[in-house]
Amino acid sequence: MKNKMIAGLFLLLLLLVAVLPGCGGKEPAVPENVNNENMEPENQESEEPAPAGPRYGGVLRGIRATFPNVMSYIPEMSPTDTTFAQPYAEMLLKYDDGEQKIVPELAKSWEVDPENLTITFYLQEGVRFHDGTPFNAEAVKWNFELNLEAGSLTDGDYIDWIEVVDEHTLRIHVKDFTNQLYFNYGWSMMFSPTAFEKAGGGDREKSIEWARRNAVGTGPFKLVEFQRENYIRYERNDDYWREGLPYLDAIEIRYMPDPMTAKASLLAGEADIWLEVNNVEHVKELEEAGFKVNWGPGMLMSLCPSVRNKNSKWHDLRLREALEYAIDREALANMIGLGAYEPLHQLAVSDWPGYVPGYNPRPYDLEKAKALLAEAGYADGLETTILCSDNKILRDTATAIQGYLDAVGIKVHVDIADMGRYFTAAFAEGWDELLLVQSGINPDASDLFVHFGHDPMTFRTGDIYKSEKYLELVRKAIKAEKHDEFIDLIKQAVVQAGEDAMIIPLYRTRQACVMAPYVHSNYIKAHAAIWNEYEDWMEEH
Amino acid sequence: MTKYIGQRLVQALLTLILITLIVFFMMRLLPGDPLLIYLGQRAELHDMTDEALEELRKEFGLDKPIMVQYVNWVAGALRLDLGTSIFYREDVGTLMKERFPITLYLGCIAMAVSTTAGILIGLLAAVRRGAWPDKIISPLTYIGVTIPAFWLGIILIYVFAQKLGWLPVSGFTSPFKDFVQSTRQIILPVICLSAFGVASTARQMRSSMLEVLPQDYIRTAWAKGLSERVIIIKHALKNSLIPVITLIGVGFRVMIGGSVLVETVFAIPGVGRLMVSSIFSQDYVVVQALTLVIAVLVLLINLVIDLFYGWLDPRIRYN
Amino acid sequence: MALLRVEDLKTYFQTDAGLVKAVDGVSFTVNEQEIVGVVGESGCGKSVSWLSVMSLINPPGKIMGGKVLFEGKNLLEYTRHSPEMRAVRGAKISMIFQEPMTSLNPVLTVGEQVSEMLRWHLKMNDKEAKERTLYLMNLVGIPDAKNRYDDYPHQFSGGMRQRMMIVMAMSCNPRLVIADEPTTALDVTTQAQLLELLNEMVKEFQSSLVLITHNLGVVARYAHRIYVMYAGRVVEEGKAEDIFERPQHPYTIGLLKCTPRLDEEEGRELEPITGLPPNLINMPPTCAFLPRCKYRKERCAEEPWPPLFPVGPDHYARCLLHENAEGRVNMND
Ligand SMILES: Nc1ncnc2c1ncn2[C@@H]1O[C@H](COP(=O)(O)OP(=O)(O)OP(=O)(O)O)[C@@H](O)[C@H]1O
Ligand code: SF4
Ligand SMILES: [Mg+2]
Repeated sequence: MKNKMIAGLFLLLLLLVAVLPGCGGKEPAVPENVNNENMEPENQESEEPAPAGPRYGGVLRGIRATFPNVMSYIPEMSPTDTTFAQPYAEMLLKYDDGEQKIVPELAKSWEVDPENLTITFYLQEGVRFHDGTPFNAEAVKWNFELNLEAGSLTDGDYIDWIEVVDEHTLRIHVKDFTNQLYFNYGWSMMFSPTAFEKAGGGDREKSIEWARRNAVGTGPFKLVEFQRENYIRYERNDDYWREGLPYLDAIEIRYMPDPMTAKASLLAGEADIWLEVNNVEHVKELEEAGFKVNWGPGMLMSLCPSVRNKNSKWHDLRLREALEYAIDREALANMIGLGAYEPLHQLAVSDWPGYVPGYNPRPYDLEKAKALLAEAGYADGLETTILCSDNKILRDTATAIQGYLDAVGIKVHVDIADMGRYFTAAFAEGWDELLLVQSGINPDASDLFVHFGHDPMTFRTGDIYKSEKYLELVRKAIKAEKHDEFIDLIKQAVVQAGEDAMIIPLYRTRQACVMAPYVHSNYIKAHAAIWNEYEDWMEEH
Repeated sequence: MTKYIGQRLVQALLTLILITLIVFFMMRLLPGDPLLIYLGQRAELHDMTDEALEELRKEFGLDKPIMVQYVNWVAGALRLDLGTSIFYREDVGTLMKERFPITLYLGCIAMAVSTTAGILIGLLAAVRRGAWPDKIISPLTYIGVTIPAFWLGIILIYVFAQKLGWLPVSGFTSPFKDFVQSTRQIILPVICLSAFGVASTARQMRSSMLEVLPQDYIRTAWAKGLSERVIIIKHALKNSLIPVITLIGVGFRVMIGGSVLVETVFAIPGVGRLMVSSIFSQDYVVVQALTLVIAVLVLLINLVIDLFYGWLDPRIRYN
Repeated sequence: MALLRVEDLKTYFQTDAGLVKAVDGVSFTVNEQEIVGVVGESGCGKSVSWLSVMSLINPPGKIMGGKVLFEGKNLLEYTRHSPEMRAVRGAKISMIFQEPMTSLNPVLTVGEQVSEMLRWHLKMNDKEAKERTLYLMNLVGIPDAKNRYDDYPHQFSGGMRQRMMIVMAMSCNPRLVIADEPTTALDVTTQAQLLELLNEMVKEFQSSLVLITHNLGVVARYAHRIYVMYAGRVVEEGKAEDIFERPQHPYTIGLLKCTPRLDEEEGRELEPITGLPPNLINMPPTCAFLPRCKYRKERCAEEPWPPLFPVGPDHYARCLLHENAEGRVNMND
């Protein structure tokens, strides 16, 4: 579930960017400091007169360029659906970005027992679904089983059986251990079994049909209205289990696919908050107009050479290295992200626990690139193809890379595919030469597994070169029982991937959430996929 | 007249069959598997076994030979069952019921505005040819036909919603729910949708009026001592409408195209936007169904226009 | 008594090529129940003159001067769109145009095109208007009028359409009918029938008729008096028999020489007038017919175009030969 959510973000971004009009060609002033500290919201708030503290009431009016389709039938929920479900649905666990660790939500604690192959969740007591039925171990089991049946629970095939120990204790017996399991299971939304069954009156199809359009969760808000691709409204859950929360009376989000209109809505005061903005230029403009901005982590952009074919030239490490030397990633990130993107030199981004400080195996060096090419027998250059999809960021990036590689004698043909062809290549059939991809970034470094796999078969990246050493480290990492040990192995894997020039990391994009000065929202602050909406509040305005 | 209508109906039917063929096979020949895009979007693929994919294929009837799929689709369409959207997980009929009324509501208003305003403006320009109304109208209509709906929308939003605050930036409310708000919300989109129609109709109206005014029968009408109003409205208008009517058919098609942009800019949950997102995701069930319904609409409009021609021009009616 | 007197009418067209003096000082008189013929070559200003009488000149044309006295009022004092002028047009002076194919509105029924006039001018109701229209349609010999009332012009033959034009012209019982080459576009038999019909109709309604044509043969038969126009002016006027028997202007003589006469028995050799009519832009001040005139004298190239000289009772010619009312010209000279 978690993996799905994050991995799929990249596709969402594609969709999103595809509907944005191109940004103007002018180069805005590049901020001097683009590191994370500067983006931290604390800084921003401290510049303002300290508000008196959270205030109750108000309807937060949001706008967003993507919209959900499925409200609560988890097997069909996309990552977008999940982010929209957050106000009304909760998971057993979640990730605290500040602490960089997994923290309780509907499960107040958990226990992982590698010896006995069990994962035990101790549930919050006194929690009720919006229909008044109790949230308990039976309900959790029912939710897991629904997902298992549909084959939509990440790592579901590890599960042997699920035991309801007592009203508030649930134990999962697994066939094999990895340290990812408890989180993969914990990252699953909980909905009322009673409401689901009642809606169908015994007819499962009817229940599913109902769950697509309705939801009964435990969250701080209730879903009260959903108009597809138009409008969604959540109202305060007065019986919420976190005492005294939430602050807001209601949240409404309107679908606004056009960024110019979204901007105008904020400026005209018709909306209080704009969720998930990808266009850096719009964000900066609004920031200048006095709006507050939360920066979120965005996506990891990388260039992936394919070794699908036995005789592919990209089996040669020297050629992959040459690619990495030839691309000036600082300049590239700056150009594409107008100063807001972070150039990448390793698989990890700077705020990951798996980040290896200072590790930059191949800084920009044209001479080295040429020498490696010559050594590999391509002194006269070579020809290759970059496959990318038809969206502005990918196109611009591919074109820029084309220029860099040209300088070392690599002739690049940019193949801009429509979504159908691109996804078929990326997800199913593979590609022949180079693929430009954006992938989501997981807070706990488990991205490595999601995108680059602990097994060579892992989706979408089956075509990249994974050395035995790398796979060994990753296999070890997911078995690690201690967190420190886990992080250490992840770091080793990051370095190994770097040594292998497995892929060429390019930069990390950023997403923003823009809000009126009187709004206090943590949207995106925590993580791209997490919104602790119960803490949001609004000043009098 | 009956024969004339009959001919038109047969033509329309043949066109329709051709359209179903084109739409159906064009979508299938596009590279990429819609199921893969769908699954990719929710990143289910790595959990997805080949059997499960096959299962899904079966669910959407994609496992059958393409000709069988086509026949099934046509048979379904005849029963008004247009299939289930892969992405929305929803009956396409339901999707259309949600979306079409909105687009048609806006479209009809815009159509009405562009025809009446276009005809009146064109008439004024022609009758006062060379005088100040004509001098103002002609350049304005030129702008009207060249300005992209998208830019017009952004300019309108900027001026009337963001700066002056007279109208809401965007959105759509059902007129049955809140008539005032609904009307305020549709003003800008309707202007945007009808700008091209008003301008092109006005231009066509002006030139065809200028063509009609020097005709002998208009001189006859003058010689009969009729008033200018009667001459323009009764004698000249009907004649000059004939070429304008053709343009209304074109305008309808342009408007369907325009609704895609206008609905995006003004955040209106209409059918145009459904079309865009479905094309993006290759949700062929929706695209096919929409194309079919739009084609039927266009054919109907053309039929109405043909009949209108007959009403306007007895020479067509009786031949 | 004069029903209509046109005095010194001038109508010019401002064109890109220059100022076209299409009608440059013409005067006509039409008496009660009189049939007046207006003849002249194509482009000499016949239509423009009579459209000016009806105030139907469109830009770039403009009536520059003169008077149109009708029932004691100068119509040129009314503006084109004035109610006074509208009350004259169609009701008191009606007009039949040359082109029967295009002069009827293709999208209105022929019946309606007559009835609307009756309702408009005579304030008839629908039924009365229709009845009178049917009566007139019968009168002009449109068979099966009742059924054809609702037909459209394209269902009518040329001759039938022109009959409808006559119905329209006569509908409000006008004092004067101006028929501008009403039969030119039709075949010879139909022409004769229609002229006969027109003649009967004006007699029946006691109207006057202005018959514009470039065919002298046509006017010979019906017209009481004739005006011969050349280059925007009247060059000769007189009683029909005078014009035919004793033409005094070299142009009229030329015209007669090239016109076959219906009442002529033995064949006569027709002689076309050589040369072309003058360009109406920047005309020289001298006699406009000079370049084509067989009778021209040296003076003709020096003197300005002369006025109309009396050449007999009610007979005038605009030619220097008649300056002193001296020698009459014999056509056979
Ligand atoms: N709209 C116009 N613009 C410019 N010149 C015009 C216009 N209408 C008429 N004229 C000029 O006025 C002159 C007289 O035209 P008019 O129609 O009166 O000739 P006509 O004697 O009726 O000839 P026809 O026998 O061909 O009908 C023509 O030579 C023509 O050049
Ligand atoms: S004035 Fe002279 S040129 Fe003119 S018609 Fe008479 S004789 Fe001929
Ligand atoms: Mg004429």
